[in-house]
Amino acid sequence: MEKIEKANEEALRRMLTADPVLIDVRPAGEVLSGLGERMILHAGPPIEWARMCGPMRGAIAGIAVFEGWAQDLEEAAQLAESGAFDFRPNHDFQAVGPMTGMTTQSQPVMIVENRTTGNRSYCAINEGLGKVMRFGGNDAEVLDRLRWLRDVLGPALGTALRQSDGVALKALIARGLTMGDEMHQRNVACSGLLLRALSPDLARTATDTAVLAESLSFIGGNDQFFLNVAMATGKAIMDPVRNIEGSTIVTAMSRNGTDFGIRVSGTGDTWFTAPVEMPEGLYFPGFSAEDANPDMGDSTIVETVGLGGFAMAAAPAVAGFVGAGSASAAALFTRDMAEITAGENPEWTIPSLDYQGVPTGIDIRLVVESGVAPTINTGIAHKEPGRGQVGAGVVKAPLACFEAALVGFAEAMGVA
Amino acid sequence: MSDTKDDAPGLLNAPLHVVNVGLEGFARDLEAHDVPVVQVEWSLPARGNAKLADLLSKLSG
Repeated sequence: MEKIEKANEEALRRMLTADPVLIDVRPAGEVLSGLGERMILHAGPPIEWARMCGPMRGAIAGIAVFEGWAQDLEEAAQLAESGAFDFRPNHDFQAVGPMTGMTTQSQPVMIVENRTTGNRSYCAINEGLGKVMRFGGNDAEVLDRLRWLRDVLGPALGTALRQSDGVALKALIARGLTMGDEMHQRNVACSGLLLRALSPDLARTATDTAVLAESLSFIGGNDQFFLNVAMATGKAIMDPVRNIEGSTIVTAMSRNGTDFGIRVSGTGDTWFTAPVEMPEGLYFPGFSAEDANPDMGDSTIVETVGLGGFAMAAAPAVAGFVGAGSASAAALFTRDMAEITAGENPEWTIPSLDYQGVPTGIDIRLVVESGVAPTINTGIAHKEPGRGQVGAGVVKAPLACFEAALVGFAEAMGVA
Repeated sequence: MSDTKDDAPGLLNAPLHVVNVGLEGFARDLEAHDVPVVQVEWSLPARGNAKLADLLSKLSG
């Protein structure tokens, strides 16, 4: 249908001409319009407390204590059950969050501006590995780290970025792809490149060398620091692609640990959902699939723009880490994703595929017709609240989301 | 038809060259017997769902 082809060309054009730049870090309450008291933004499509999985509940209890809305985790859970908190998806606030995806008013959020279109997106600062809130952790260690991010690192990053020209992310990600990152489960190169870009301004604006050293050490010691920047980048690229009449391109894929949801450009902000799948992967010593929670997080926004599982060929080390097979098998993941995408990104290329661009622009028609589901690289959380990460793996987006979206899209086009 | 009849003994006696289209199980069985196989991934459009296939036809035409 010509109208769809033209709409999808426009969607792809907007994706490829986006110019995401990291410009600031501010408290979420200052910059997320409508984010109020006792409001908790979470990953994935909308969900109520009764249907939330263990780690999501654990994170909500923890963030309520962090914000001072409850004295302890028990009281926080009681308040949540009684309806005292307003749960909303990050995506409705131009925001994204990894795994449980907690975003509340006093948390610092990184701001990425798409300089082509002027829209901004937001994501909290990555907490590091181990026991962290994004995997449902909520003990004193987790909350103390969040306080340090709020009181020390967030303000320091914001001050440094505001007196700079910002960090251009498109080129930085392009370099990261040639250095073995796919920006979901491997961010080693991009985290280093970002630290290199930020360090001079952090040093120039520092008033306390001990704090500076602590900040540099935290970023340098966190191989996944860039993940949250990549996610905000994905959101900044995809938001302008929303609401193109007649477009079958996916603008968001996201999971809340219970439901997997997608949004499609031509059907606006409607979520098409299906039960989440269980990742297949490798587990840390002492853990197994018995401990795992189903798939979770807004981080699939990176696959939506052609990174993560779609760029697996760029990161053969990830294929081993997530249990997806040999290094040579990594290329097959990327080739499969080319079957379901509208084009490729000539600025984000993969050396091992003779500089082929990453597969870009998921077309729901191609997914439904081929039966090839988007591949997602992901961390795996423990299914119980407060336990944290237990492994990493690969998961498929449920085809049922795309089938439901195709029916919804056809109805919107008047052809159902 | 006569060619087919004449070639049949040769086909059975010569090494097999197999292209398997669709279900991978057949390819795996042959590989287990050291028969080289080229696997072609194929499945029914829309997993065989006639309603979705009809919608795809309307949205792709």
